Amino acid sequence: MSFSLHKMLRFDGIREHIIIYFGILSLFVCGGLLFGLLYGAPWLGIEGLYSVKEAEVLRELEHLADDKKQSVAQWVEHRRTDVAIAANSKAIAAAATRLFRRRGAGAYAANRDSLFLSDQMGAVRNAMPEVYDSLVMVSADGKTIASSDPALIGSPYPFPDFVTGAFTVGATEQVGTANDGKHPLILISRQIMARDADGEQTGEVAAVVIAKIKPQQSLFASLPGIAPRSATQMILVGSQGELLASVPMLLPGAVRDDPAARRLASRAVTRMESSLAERLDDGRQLIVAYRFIPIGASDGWGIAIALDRGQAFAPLTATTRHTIVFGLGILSLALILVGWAAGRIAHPIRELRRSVSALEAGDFAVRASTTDRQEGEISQLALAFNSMAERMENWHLELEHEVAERTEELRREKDTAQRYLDVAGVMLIFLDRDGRIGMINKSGASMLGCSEETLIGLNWFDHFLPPGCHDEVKGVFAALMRGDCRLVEFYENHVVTCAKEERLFSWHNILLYGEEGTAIGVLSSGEDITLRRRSELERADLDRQLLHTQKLESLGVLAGGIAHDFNNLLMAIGGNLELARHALVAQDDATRFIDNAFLASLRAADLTRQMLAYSGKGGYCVKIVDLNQLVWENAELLKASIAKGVTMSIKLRPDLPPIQADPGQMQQVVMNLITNAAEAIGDGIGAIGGNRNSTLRCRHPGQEPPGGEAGTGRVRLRRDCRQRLRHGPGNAAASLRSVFHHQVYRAGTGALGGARHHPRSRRRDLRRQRAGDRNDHAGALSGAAAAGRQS
Amino acid sequence: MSVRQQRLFSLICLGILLLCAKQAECAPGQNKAPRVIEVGVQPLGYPAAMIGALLGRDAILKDELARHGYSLAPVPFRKGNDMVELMGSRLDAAFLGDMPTILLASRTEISVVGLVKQTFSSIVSRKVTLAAQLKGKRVGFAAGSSAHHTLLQALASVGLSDGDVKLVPLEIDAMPDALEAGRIDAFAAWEPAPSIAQARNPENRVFFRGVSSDYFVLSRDFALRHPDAALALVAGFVRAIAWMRKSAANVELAAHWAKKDGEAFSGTPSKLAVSRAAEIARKEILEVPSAPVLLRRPGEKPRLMDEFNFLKSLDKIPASTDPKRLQSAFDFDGMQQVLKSPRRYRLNEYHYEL
Repeated sequence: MSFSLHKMLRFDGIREHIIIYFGILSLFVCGGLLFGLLYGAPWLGIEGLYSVKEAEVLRELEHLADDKKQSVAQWVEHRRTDVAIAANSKAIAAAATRLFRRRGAGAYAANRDSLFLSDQMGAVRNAMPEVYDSLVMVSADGKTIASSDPALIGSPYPFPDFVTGAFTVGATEQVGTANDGKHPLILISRQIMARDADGEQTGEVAAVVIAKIKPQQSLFASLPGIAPRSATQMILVGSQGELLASVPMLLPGAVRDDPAARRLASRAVTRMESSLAERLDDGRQLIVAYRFIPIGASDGWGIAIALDRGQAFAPLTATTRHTIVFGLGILSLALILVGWAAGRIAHPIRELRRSVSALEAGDFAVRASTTDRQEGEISQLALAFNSMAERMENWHLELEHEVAERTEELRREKDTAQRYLDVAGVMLIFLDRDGRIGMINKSGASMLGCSEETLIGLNWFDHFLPPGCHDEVKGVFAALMRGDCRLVEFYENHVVTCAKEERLFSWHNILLYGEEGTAIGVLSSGEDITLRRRSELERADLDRQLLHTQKLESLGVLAGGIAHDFNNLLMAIGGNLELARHALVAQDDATRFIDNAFLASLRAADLTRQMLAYSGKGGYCVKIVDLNQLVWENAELLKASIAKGVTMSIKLRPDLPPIQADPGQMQQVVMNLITNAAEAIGDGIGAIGGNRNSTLRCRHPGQEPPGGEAGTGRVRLRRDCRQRLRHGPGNAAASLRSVFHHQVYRAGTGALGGARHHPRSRRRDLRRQRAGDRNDHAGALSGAAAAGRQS
Repeated sequence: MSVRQQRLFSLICLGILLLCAKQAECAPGQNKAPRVIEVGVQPLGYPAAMIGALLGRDAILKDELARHGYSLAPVPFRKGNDMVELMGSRLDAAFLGDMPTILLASRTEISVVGLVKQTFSSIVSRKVTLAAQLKGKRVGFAAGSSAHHTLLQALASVGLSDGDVKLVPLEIDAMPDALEAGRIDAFAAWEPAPSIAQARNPENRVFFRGVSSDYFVLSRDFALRHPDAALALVAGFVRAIAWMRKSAANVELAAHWAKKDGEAFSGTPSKLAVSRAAEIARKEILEVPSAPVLLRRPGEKPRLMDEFNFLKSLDKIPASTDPKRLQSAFDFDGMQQVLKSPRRYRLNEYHYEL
């Protein structure tokens, strides 16, 4: 049931659409026709039933009002005629004139003339008793001189205002209204002019005949019906709005309580004739025709005939209602028929739709059924569909084949590409707009130390950049994705691998764009250049050292030349000093100074020899040397060359065996050590000590020297001094290294007393020296001397 | 004679001299050229045209006026509003509708003699059945006329004003043609224009009527300065109505004369039959009880006062106009004077020049 209801409410089929369209169209057309029929289309010149009915009602109402106006006017005319006949009778006029001439002399007593006149008045009244209430003759002073009711003779006429007007000269006739307290009255007067003896009017009014009429029965006894009696109302009002007659009958005082009568009475005295649509306060709608009946030069009566619009239009409204119901019934029947017909029309289409749906779902073997009962278009459509389905099936098969082939090709190409990627020695990586890894080859994964599956989806910047540069690089990347900056095609940066090892990578980048032209990510190839960069640094260091060596060699050559010349000068100085020594007496005080100068010249000669030896031009003289003696002899000389803030204490080891060496070379070693130590202390305050183990130490005040340095013949420079040596004035550490280096280096040339030298050992020494730098040792030259052997 | 008596005598003599001089100024002398009394008539409006035609042919009136040194000159106009500006200056008397009478009373002092007609001004249309349907329609009208007043009444009765319709000023006799030609959708006019339009096309119908009256009006200044001539005119007016009331033949003869006068004035043949004109005259004046006498009962509102207030509310007359001016216009008792002396004013004699 719910399924059927659901199907019914879907309204998405041809049948349902036909029903809806037909229903809407039919409603629109029928509604429009009905509306046009009822209310018309004035701009098209079409009058609606309501307009026609309204015009008809108005016409009938106006005809009725005109008829009523005419009948009232005729009635008044007849009454005027009655009164005029009575007043214009020669006998009546003569009798009235006689009474007029006798006025003031028993005119109001019953006499022959008054009785005659009363008989005449009574005759008229009796002729139409349903019309006339009374007929009287009144004198100018307002007294009744004759009456249809003789008992009234001599009494004052009860409506003196009317009498006053009736006696106005020239106002031959007068029609007015009055009220006796119970009923409205109509008064009609006619003047009887006084005549002279010649029968000519004198201009005086002898008397007036006044007829008193109760209007209701006479005027509005009936109302011709144009509608149900209850729907019609008619009133006749006097010039002051007083109610004279009404249908249905109302008492004069009841007008105030009847809103319709009140409205009609107020409008009827406006001296206009028109038809109006009135809406009362209680909601009732009236169609009213107003008429005005001129009664005199000053007076007029008003007639209003009203029709209740609702009741007047009730038949039309009922007809409209029935028409609507009938129309809806016909429309419902039509919709049922349309639904049936639409179902028949839609059935093959629905079948076709089913076939199309099956085709859409992938059933290429489906075919629409074609029968002879189908309409031509539907049958052609089914045939066309079948043809199309067959071609689609063929295309599908061909396409499947092509797709399979193409898929295989693509798979192969993909495998090939993957292999290319995998064999590439560089990292190939794709970062999407958010910086996540979208693709990485095996080499890249290997460099980062993770599997490809692990890396895919990780944010590159969060996981693989050194701390401290995440935000900056991410900002640059985001700006690049927005197009706010240009891509740097080549650059190098450090990458932190999964093992937290920092590696240096060189990158080549290209920006990839989507179909919309916006950047979708960056494809980069990265090469780990950590080792290469390190090799390059080492090579550069070696090149620098080679250059330095070459410079030193040049310097040696230069020093050799200078030493040779200087040695010649020293020869002259020494010779002359020796001559001067021999010339002085032994006790002369100057002898000591000349001896010192001679010794200095000898040492200078030693220096020149050393310089010659350094430059490869000098000769070595290997002797038995007492190092204690050597140090002691040079100590006094060296004291003068060190800074004043440095104290030097010498503690020699007495049991030190003599060594076989070139004394000049050894002296130079000692001097270099002390001089470098002094330079290391610089301008500060320090101490240089050489102990018996020939270990030379330097330290700053407040630092306790480490105890007990092992080894003999070792010269060690402590860490605290190394810092000063490295950064202090004169770069003493370099000098020290240079000294030792040259000591070793020159050992090959016999500088260190026959120590063996080999290039490999030199490189090992250098490595050791660098390792010493890294291990906070500035370097050490240790040597063990033993008598008769060298090491 | 004492000095005081001498002074009193001198003053009396001076007063007599001044009175004589005033009399000499008001009444033309026997040896002077007769003063022409110009009376504005409407040859195209019935029954005023018939009364005007009778006045112009009343030999007794001319004799009476000539006896007092006056002569009569009827001056034709298309409508009463055209005479308003001339009353008191060029015109001494006129036949006017109620709206021109009110407008005139608000401008100058006049004396209303009596009723000329009591009829309806009508609004005629083929398309309009209710006054409310006038909104946006083209309505022909004669500015300042009784029919204009009726149109304003019709509009006001359904809550409209003259701004809600397209007013098309037209001459009365051109309105039926304009309606028939479709230049207007409706027109407001007095007889015979509505009858002509209905006779021409039965689909034309009157959907609104307003009571309108015509009056015979004298300039107050003229009535005061020339009382004999004024009363002679009143007598001629009373005589004309009485003569028409005597027989239907008289009415038709008067209608015939009025038709001739109208055709001479407009230059085109009248489309109104004499019989129809006679019927109009009977309905609108001859059969009106007490006409042409204007009765005023105690307690009644002054005549035309409602219309006066209505026009005042529409700013058609100045708000400062004193209503007593209108009330005093109806205080003239010339009609009573004449009717009370029928022999003196020869009311029972009739002599109309053919």
